[in-house]
Amino acid sequence: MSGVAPPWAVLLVPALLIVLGYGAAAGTAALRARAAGAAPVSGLTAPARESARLLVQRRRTIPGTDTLLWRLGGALVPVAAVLAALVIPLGSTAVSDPSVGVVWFNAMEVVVWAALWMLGWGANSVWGLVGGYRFLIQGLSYELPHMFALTAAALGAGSLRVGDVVAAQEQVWFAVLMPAAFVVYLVSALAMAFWGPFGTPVGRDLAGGVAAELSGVDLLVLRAGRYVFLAAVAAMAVPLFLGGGAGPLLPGWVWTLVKTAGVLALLVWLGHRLPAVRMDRFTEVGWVVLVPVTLLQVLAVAVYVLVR
Amino acid sequence: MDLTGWLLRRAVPRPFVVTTVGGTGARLAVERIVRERGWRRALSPADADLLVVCGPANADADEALDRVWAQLPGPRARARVGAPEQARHALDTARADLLDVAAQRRDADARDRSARAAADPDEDMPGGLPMAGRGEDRDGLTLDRLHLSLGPALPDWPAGLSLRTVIQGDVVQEAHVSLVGARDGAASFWGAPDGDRGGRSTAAALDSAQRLLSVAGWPAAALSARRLRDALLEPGPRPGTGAELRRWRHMVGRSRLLRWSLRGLGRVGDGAPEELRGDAADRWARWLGRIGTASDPGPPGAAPGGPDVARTALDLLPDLVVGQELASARLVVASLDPDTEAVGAYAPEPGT
Repeated sequence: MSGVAPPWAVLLVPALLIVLGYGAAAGTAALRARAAGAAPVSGLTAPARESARLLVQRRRTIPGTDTLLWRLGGALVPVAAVLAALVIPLGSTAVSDPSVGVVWFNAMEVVVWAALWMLGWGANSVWGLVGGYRFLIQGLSYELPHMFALTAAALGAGSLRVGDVVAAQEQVWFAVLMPAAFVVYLVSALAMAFWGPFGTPVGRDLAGGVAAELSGVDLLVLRAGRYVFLAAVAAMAVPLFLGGGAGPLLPGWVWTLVKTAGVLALLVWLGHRLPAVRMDRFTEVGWVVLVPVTLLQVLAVAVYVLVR
Repeated sequence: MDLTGWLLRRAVPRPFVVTTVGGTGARLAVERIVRERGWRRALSPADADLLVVCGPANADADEALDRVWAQLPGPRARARVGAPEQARHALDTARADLLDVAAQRRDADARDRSARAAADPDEDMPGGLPMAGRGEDRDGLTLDRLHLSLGPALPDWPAGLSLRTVIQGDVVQEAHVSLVGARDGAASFWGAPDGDRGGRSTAAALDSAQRLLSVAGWPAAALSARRLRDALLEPGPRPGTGAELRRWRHMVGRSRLLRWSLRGLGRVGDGAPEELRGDAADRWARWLGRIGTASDPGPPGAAPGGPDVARTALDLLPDLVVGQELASARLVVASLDPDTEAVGAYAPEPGT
């Protein structure tokens, strides 16, 4: 079922992620333009024009920064996204399909914790520091339910290999079999990409939070990296819960892209429609509601696997 | 080929909009133009290329504004909008300054030279800055005491308000309120006589609501609120605005997530003026009520609070934000939304 792609496919992964990320940014800008009373079409070029502005803008130097951490933090976000996406199969072929693919994805996604904390700490600014604290609390709140959601999918397949998870969904998609895990995955996808309702680490109330002191190309890398990361976590939902490249008529890789675009559009729309979640209140929900819900989901999947 | 100029011409400017006391009318005009041109307001000076100051100049505010100006990375341009009718011209001029590549290069070189001249190589403190002092926080942990000044140059913040805080972790430990550039005899924009079928009162509530929505992290709803506010302030008939207002109100009024975020924050007792009573969720519901009564045909809504309400809000503010974390503190300020222009010169009572 699953195969390993030729080496040049490594270059295809960032290219596809950038296209999908640009689409997410343009979609966000189009929804914004509609809310402002302008033509949504103007959103299509908005990310490109914003990139032009940031390319010309000068980088800042501010006293007392930890320059290495500060400059490195933002660059880690797109790197983590690309590394995480290496295990996602396009159709039936992934760049790499290791026996611990699900764990690899999880590990790369946690790199973003380090990235945002480095950004917030390195800038020697209260805004950045508070933004960094917020993301750590966010991580503590979403990570456990997220890991149990991944566990549910891996348990359903009896394997941590992403190819096996896809193969296990030939009869029924895991989104149908384990809806709670799928919903929790979508919530944690928003949280790990610090996007929409979970965007408070870079929130307006903190004057940009961890990004408060960034300018120019540093800011461009962080903002673009966030969209790329959002695309990567949306793409991972496809092999985990939506049957991978399975679908009628069209080839597998088209189905993967169509499903990814669908999940990404849902995440962008949620970001548009929901206010921010206050992290001190969400922590309680994460631990008191989502952890038990995902544990029960894992139990249900385990029973299903045994009696199947 | 001049790549810099080519990119600059394609870039959409991002203004950092600061309002001084007496500048609400100018701010509304600027925000309207910014929205209509598809620009976005910057989150921080580092993110911005235009510094737009709305309202009359005063020495205290100018000192803060010069510091903000120094934080704009460049290319950068500055605009002062003293009165609403100057807004269009001031923004056009600033945009033209931004596109003047030669002048921007000179500015950048001058800044680099003065930065090199100011650099002092033999300092043992990082960046020549003193280290943060330490103290016990509310849980008895010894944490750095960081001094953070909220305002007067902060997005979605009442004009001229300065909240000097001491922060440990992300919790406000001390807070002192002052008004920068406030003077007696200044007229409140929203307090002006309302000859317009309650439109101005609704617009005032929408302005408070859009600020709260921005702080609460719902930029799309805030943007719609600004659009409706601008439509209501337009003289003459406003076809379709009533229906849109109802749709917007329905959307934000239904949001349980927002109410959940606001509930229990900044609780004010029954001794205070009616507009301020209850928690942030109650005040939010009252604004929505005021918007609701005016979007339906009927009597105009109640007038927004006068100087006494704003003064009481400022007096209450320090006690309400101490012990809260920064997100909550900002929501508390936005939910009170003191009309700083109505207060006049303000000095907090000793001991607060």
